[in-house]
Amino acid sequence: MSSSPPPSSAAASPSCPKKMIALRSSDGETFEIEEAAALQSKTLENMIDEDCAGTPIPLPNVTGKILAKVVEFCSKHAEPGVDDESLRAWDAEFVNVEQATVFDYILAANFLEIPTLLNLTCNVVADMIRGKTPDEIRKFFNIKSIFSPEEEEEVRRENHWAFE
Amino acid sequence: MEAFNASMPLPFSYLFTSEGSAANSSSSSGDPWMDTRIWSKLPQSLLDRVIAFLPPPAFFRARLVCKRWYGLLFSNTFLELCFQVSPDRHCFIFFKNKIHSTYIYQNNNSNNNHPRSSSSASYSMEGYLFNPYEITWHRLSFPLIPSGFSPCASSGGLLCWVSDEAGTKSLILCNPLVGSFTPLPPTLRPRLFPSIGLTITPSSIDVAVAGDDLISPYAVKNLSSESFHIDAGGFFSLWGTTSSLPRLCSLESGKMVYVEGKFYCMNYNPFSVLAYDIGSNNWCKIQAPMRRFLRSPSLVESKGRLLLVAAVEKSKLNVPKSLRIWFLQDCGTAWVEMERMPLQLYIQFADIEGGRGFDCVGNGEFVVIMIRGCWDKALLFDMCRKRWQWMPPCPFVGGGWGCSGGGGGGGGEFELHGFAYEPKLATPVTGMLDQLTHPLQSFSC
Repeated sequence: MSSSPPPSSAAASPSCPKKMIALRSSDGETFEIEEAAALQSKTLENMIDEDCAGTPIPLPNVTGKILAKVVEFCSKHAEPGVDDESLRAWDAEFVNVEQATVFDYILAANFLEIPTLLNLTCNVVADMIRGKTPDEIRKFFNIKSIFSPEEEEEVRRENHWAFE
Repeated sequence: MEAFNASMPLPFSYLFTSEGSAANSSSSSGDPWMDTRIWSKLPQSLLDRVIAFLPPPAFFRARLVCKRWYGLLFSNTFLELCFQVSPDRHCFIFFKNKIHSTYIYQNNNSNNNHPRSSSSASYSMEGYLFNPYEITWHRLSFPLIPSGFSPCASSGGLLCWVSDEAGTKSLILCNPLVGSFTPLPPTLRPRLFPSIGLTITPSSIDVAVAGDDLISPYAVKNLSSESFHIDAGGFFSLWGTTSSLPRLCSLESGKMVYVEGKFYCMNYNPFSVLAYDIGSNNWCKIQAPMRRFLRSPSLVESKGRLLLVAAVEKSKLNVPKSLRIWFLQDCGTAWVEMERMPLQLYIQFADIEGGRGFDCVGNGEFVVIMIRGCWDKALLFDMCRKRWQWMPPCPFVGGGWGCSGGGGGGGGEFELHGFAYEPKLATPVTGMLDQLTHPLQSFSC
């Protein structure tokens, strides 16, 4: 993690515009993001530190459709003066999307190292699976169980309180 | 956070259109269908992160999925991840409390009939986890806790048990989810049923034991407190820190609540609040609000503030009876009323309670009000959403008489008493206590 504090966009003098970072998605779309918002991503933070030239940062793992939303997320979370309650509600709406999109958000947040987005989306998936039986979970993630019936019985007994 | 993996597959947005539009909302309500074509591609490390977000009962059920998931509970990497990402879950844990002092109790763990003369002795080593978000109950067992111990405090995912016998007190810290057992060194002064306060952070343990000093084998007096401290910085005090209690105080073996560097407990006859400042090893008294009109006051911690919950009865004035909640202001001496039970509900509540009194515990935004003598009638108040509801009775507690049972028979009348509890899969802070029993001290005195 970078130890230097992110430069505050409020520190920019009125005559100088806020620093914008350009990002290029895997499918060639370009997006602009305020530096303060970009610093939500550790990956971008490192890239900004290294290369201050104006060329767009290529992100070969993120499509334009997803990158647009990620930029939206980071910008919202960099906004000053948003209270916790509203931000939580906004986040809930943000992830109220199709499963495929949630999956894409997870991978993008992981690649870009955005802890807030990564945790938010992983929590969504956790919510999906928490009511499921072990067998259903195995199916969704394509996990082959290698417990023998006796072992499974033992594990079930050991953790019986969670099944009651 | 792991480094970027260059071989990660492209996101799937353009490779297929999602089917099942009726199920395309991935919000958590209802039972969502999960598309295995999507989720089977989730990398292992990200799946671990998803698992880290599972609440405890779901996590323990998930251990059945495969050997890898089973073993996560023992994986330091996974536990470290949980420590970073798992949200706070403000739950409660309840225990049975016998209310007939003459009951002859047969200890489940042994074959001896074991007469218990104390009314605070517990039935069996079983606790009932209550999740106020989902309104669910689970039964947890404590097979390692020996008989002769009772639960007395909870903090940081750990439960503290104290020896019942009069004398110096032995304390045990236990993580209910994994069944860990960590004794503390015994206290130094003999006591009967002291009040015990506990506060645990990832890097420190503080315990205070107060009151019920045995000044002779048959006489108790509230004279002193002793405290225990250990932290990762190497500082420790093994009960050597003692302090005098304020004169003529009456703690009644009540619970202590920790808020911002202090332990608080109720003082009775007349009502006031005692505060113990851990840093300065000092006790002081705080006047209670409306102290002459309070009934069944309890102290509760919520979001860094001390709350007092009590019924108010002003018999001489024409003021309707009510149940109110105050919080202690930062100055530490003045209270502000913040909540009042809706009058209609209070009428219903008082009718059921019938003057028996009630006890409260709180955690996060929740307060649980338990009617004395009644194991199946408790109210849950959500301070955030301003919602009051009767809790469903604990399904694991049976055979006892509910509220309707009145004073009938010696059969198993009991009530539940509870603690705020934050379930945590790992509580590595107890490792510091293990060092105390090791002959080679690794930190300086």
